[in-house]
Amino acid sequence: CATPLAIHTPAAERPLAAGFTLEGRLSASDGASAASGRLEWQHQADGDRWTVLSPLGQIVAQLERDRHGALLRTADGRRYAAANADELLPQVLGVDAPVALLPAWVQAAPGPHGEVRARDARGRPALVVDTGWRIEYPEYAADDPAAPPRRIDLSRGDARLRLIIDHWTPAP
Amino acid sequence: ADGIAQLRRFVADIRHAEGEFEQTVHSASGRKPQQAAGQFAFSRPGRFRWSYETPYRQLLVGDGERLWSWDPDLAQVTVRPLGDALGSTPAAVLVGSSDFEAAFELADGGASDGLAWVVARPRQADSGFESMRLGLADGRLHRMELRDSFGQNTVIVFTRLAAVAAPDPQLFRFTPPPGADVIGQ
Repeated sequence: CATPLAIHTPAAERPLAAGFTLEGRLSASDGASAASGRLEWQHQADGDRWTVLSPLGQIVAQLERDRHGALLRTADGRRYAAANADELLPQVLGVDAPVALLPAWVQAAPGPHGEVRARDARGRPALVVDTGWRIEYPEYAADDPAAPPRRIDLSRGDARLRLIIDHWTPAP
Repeated sequence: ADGIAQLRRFVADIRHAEGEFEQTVHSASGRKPQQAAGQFAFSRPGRFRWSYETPYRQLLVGDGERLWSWDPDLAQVTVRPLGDALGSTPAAVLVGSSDFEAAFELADGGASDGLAWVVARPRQADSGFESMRLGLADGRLHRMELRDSFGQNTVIVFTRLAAVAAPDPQLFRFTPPPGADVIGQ
């Protein structure tokens, strides 16, 4: 397969949005179970709402997080509360990706302990490695250096998550 | 209104059909409605094809035993037994045979928009939607409305539904394309 370009490509100038709304599709599996569907994610500094929907637009699960904790509601009406979203997000995304790092990863940026291992011809990250996760960016939404990624492949051990971003709206 | 009688006639008489649909999802959060459209075909019992063309391609195929769903962008196929997937999903209306009423409790939904309505509540608790309204005219299904426990409201309009004598069996078979991830749930 195409090997990502070496690191020496100059880094593109890529502002990081503190808040955003992401609409896309995800497929995830951790070797045992699998999850797939449409994803809507509203992110602000002090809160998140992840919603997974079926092709028919019916909500399968919705997880909301704020400073006080996290609440997961599922289609059958059940509710699960937890101190933080990390305990519940795997039930929504299908893998236990870290809540604190996902906002950077979906913008093709490493967390504080991560690093960009390779860049594409436009200087945008092609591969990020962070806290044991491998995050690949095979496709961006447009050709310009600051474009958001269109497809993200996340993996660690058996856990795999593929995300297609159909709409990306940074918060004002 | 004789919605229930028309629905029973539809389930009994229309054994095989194909056509087009338009889907609009009115989200509970009041965001602008999301449109989708595509083609469908069904062959009772248990076989159906539900193909979204816009806003992106996604294919659902019930082959009589299993439900295949394929997203070309994700390059992923998920497959699960048709029984629990079909039991109380809207597709059951299209392809459920006589035991359709085993999956749904029916109630008359009156008449409006020139259609006779039926309210169908899934008997199986975790069916993923709370209730469904079916709009019929002259023994044909024209509209389907689904509401989930979050207040999402999905409206499906069958812009064309034509009975066919013997549908092409290939429509209801699915072979995962090379290179696609196949995930069984």
